[in-house]
Amino acid sequence: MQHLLDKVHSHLNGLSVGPASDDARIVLDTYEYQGASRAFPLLPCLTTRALGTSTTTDIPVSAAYLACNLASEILDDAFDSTCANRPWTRWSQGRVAMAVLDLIWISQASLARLDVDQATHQDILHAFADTGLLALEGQRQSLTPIRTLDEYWAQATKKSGAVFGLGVWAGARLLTADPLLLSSCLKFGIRLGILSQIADDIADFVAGSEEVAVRGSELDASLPVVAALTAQGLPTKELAHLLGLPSERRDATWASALRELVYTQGGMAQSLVLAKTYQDECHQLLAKLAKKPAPELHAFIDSHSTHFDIQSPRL
Amino acid sequence: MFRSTVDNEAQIATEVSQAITDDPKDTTREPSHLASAALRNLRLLAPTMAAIAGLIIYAKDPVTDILKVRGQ
Repeated sequence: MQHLLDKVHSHLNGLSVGPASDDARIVLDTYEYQGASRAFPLLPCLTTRALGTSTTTDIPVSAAYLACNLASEILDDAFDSTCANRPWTRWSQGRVAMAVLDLIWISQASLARLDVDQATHQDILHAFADTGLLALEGQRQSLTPIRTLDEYWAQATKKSGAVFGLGVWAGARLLTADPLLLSSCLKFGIRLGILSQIADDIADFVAGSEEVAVRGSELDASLPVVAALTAQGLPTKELAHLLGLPSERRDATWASALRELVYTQGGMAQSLVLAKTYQDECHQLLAKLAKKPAPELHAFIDSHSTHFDIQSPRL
Repeated sequence: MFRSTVDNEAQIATEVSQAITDDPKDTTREPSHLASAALRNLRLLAPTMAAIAGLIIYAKDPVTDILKVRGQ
């Protein structure tokens, strides 16, 4: 998989788009997807290979997809302040914004130079634009308090599902215009994105106290919390009290109390069940779609459950 | 196609979530295959969950000691 990632980076470096800013270059050169997660920016390439056809056009599409995803990653890093070892977490907001715009236009440049027929080109451009707008809509929805499963899934499927769906769909669109196959690919990608969102929320939920306390508002909207609220019909007095506390009163003790309450009310159990359900579903959908073995994609699906692990209770 | 598929998947995910809570919205509908799979998984994981929840309530062990997060 590393050789594909190298090809994608090489393509981005070779784009004749004039002087990309040093900051965009820093992001492209230093951001590293670890282990099986390297499959994420390569979803278009890995999809064409799983569908059984090799095409040179999947590299420019993956390059565009990677640049868009990096723009999103550095925004997350800059606002969440959880990855202090990355250079852009120390940049000003204006500097981050400029780098984000650079990456988005680099992505557009890669798509503009795509050597495919006009209908395919148009469909892929529309899909990138539609997905970007959907993801932004999901981000906006997540800024307001989320208290029901309807609200949770409305924003999660836009933020994560649509983005993963684009990666799989765009790879497939390079090979076919068959609406049934494209719809199946999109559904697989969206469900993979949903799995990723569930796994991230579970990992956030069981993360260290200090980190969670800093990101308290994010914890409020995590799946275990929303599931606990829903399981009880109406929030219990204790849960409502904890969620109603202002940020200055949220510390490690608050985070620990919230975690225990959510856990005992079933929010964590339901999240783990959903993770397992979507993991199984993704394997099944991929097995139906793939015409060639797709070990990287199966490993990527499984990598989401290695974010967490249920240990045997110590009695 | 993107928006309608994403919206549809959000509805399915809500239905699957509600299938494993006490608050299913529409009990007259046949559960989807995903909802049925979630219910099966719920039954499979239930004993482990109950044991861990009991441990938290009675032994007051920190949750992070029980749920280990790999790679962090």
